[in-house]
Amino acid sequence: MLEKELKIYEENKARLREENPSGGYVIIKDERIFGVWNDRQDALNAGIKEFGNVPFLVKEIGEKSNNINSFSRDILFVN
Amino acid sequence: MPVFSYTSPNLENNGAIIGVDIFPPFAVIKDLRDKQENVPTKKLIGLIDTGASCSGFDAPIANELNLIVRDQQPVLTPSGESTHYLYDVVLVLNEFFTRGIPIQAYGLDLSKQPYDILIGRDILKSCTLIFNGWNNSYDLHLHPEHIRT
Repeated sequence: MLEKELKIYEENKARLREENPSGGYVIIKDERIFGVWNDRQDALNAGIKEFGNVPFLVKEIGEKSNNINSFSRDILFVN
Repeated sequence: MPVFSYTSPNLENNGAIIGVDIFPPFAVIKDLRDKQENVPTKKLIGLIDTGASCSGFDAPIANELNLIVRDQQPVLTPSGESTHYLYDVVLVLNEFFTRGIPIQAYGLDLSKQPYDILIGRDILKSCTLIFNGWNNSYDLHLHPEHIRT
């Protein structure tokens, strides 16, 4: 799921961060970088309007994206 | 701040539970309304979990609401680090008649748990939580920006 999009993101992450020093949210669909928005909800709006409610990646590109979520107990994830 | 007070003789076992309505992201809601289609939603029992930095819901709900994976992020648990998919959703804490709160949440297997969703610190960052074990009660104060006017 989203393998192509995540690969494109990793290949372009450094450039995206350089071009958007204040961060933002990039939309990637298949191998196309559709754009960067300051707000996640604005990015989702643009993606749904362009592609419909189909799979596409919405990825934070700022330093905050390096944060790792945590759960204090073991839990079963589904995927 | 508006406050929700919950008292349970079995708070120690049940934990701090709260009613939650879950919706697709705002963009999908708008798209469905433009097409004059029904917006799917589901009433859930949530457990307030201060040990979770992020929220997560029982995964079959994603199919019921036609939610689509939009990202993946690493997660740290006592077993180590792993990477999992995230969905964009909107939550309404229905005791507060809140505005929808947009978050990203993981799909979890909560099938053997008495709740459907873990309310993590991504929601609690807008709240004050007072857990009063002596009184078998808890109070949740929500920031006014999330209250429906």
